[in-house]
Amino acid sequence: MIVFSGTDKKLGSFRLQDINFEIPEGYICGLVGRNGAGKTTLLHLLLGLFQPDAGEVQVDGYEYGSNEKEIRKLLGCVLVDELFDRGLSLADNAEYFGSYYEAYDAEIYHKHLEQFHLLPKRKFKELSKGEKLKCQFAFALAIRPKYLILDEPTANFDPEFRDAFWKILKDFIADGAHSVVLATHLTDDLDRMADRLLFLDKGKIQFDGDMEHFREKYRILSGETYLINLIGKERILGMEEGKYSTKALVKNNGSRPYPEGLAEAAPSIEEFMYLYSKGGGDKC
Amino acid sequence: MLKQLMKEYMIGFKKVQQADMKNPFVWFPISYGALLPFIISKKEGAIVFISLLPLTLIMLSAHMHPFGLNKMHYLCPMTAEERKKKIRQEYYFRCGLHFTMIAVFLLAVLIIRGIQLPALIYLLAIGFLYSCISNPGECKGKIAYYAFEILAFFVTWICTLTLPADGTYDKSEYIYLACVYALLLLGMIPAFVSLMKSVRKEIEQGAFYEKGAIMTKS
Repeated sequence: MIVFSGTDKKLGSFRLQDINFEIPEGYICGLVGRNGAGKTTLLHLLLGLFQPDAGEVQVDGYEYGSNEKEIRKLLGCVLVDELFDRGLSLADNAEYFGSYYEAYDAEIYHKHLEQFHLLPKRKFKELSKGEKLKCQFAFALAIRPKYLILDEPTANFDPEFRDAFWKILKDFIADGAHSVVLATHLTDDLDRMADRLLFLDKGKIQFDGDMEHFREKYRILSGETYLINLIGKERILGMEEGKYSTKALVKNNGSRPYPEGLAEAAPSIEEFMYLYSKGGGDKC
Repeated sequence: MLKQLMKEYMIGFKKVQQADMKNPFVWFPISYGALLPFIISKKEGAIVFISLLPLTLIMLSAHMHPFGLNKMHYLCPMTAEERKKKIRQEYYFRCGLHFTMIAVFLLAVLIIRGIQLPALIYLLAIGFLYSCISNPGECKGKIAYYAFEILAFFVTWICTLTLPADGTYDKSEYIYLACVYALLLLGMIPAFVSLMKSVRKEIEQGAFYEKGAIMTKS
């Protein structure tokens, strides 16, 4: 299980504050938020690249201070940065960095390279952005990690590969012993595939829970503005007034029905983020 | 371990374009040396040129093979202490390799044309100091490295200019030159100490990504 408890990190003027969440095994957890919300900082803390100013980061009960090596054996990652050596071939890169991992399996790596249509003898620098990420993804799988940490890889994948990518992730967590943490802006895929959601805004976690809870907790209401205002401002997280109709993101309270004449629907992650941003935040 | 260090050093040759080759001081000794036969006498110029050759090779090597870790190393299963050890080993390996290059070259000069003792000691000492130059990549402390490189180059240059073409000095020059060499070496010590401080800092900080990462250049 991945556990953040009371974690703080200050980077210049940005501050990740009081981060508390748990990600158990068997989940695909989507990490979403606007640019600069703190997603990459959070992932860097999870990967031990940054050390927290306060609080703890634990992976399977291990902490970086005392069991860094054990944690790193459990984590495979794909980051936006180019992790491999540009001057080396894909095979040489994997051979070199794979030597640090006891569980590295060259066969898995080459199998995935073939599946992703990448030639092992090609130099890393010759690859396109998407291909570089595919290659790093193949390596992350080849070290046979317990947790996959992925920082916005999907934006650079072609639609055809994206399907294969999600299938691999589903297979990865299928045994219930592995998990994926995926930061992405492509929320449509998350709507379909994620089991859990972490929504970050201004360095704070605004939502942490499974997708069912997310769909249950919020509603998108559409209709006349005056009808929406009847709900009460404290429940409205964000609102957009249109020419003919107004849309609002509200906290769902199952016991109190909405005024008649309003259309009600569970929000998609994208709708949630969009309307949430209209409300200025801090009300989740 | 030595095999692994050599393997990592050899990787440097495969990523020459990635190395920081913009530093003009890398090319300065060799270009200067190449011009000398046209400026001073051919024989003396050739001596200076040959004398500067190993120093240029060391500079090239230092810049092709910066020591330190890239981001992926910080993600691999290693403790901070192991990362520190790895950086330290890389640095010592480079120093050793560079000094071997100088020593082999001096041995060759000794066999071919002979060098008198003060010059040999001086060149070995300079060679040792020079061998400790290693490019810290993207890390801090570059100024110390560059300052040392420039200083080392000029000190060596003065030495090569004082080398007689036939490899021997007049007796009257012998003590005088020994004193000059000693003074030059003493003058380099503060710069060398500063360089070593910078190296130690690089090694200490290099163990942690936040403090000392060399980002893989794109």
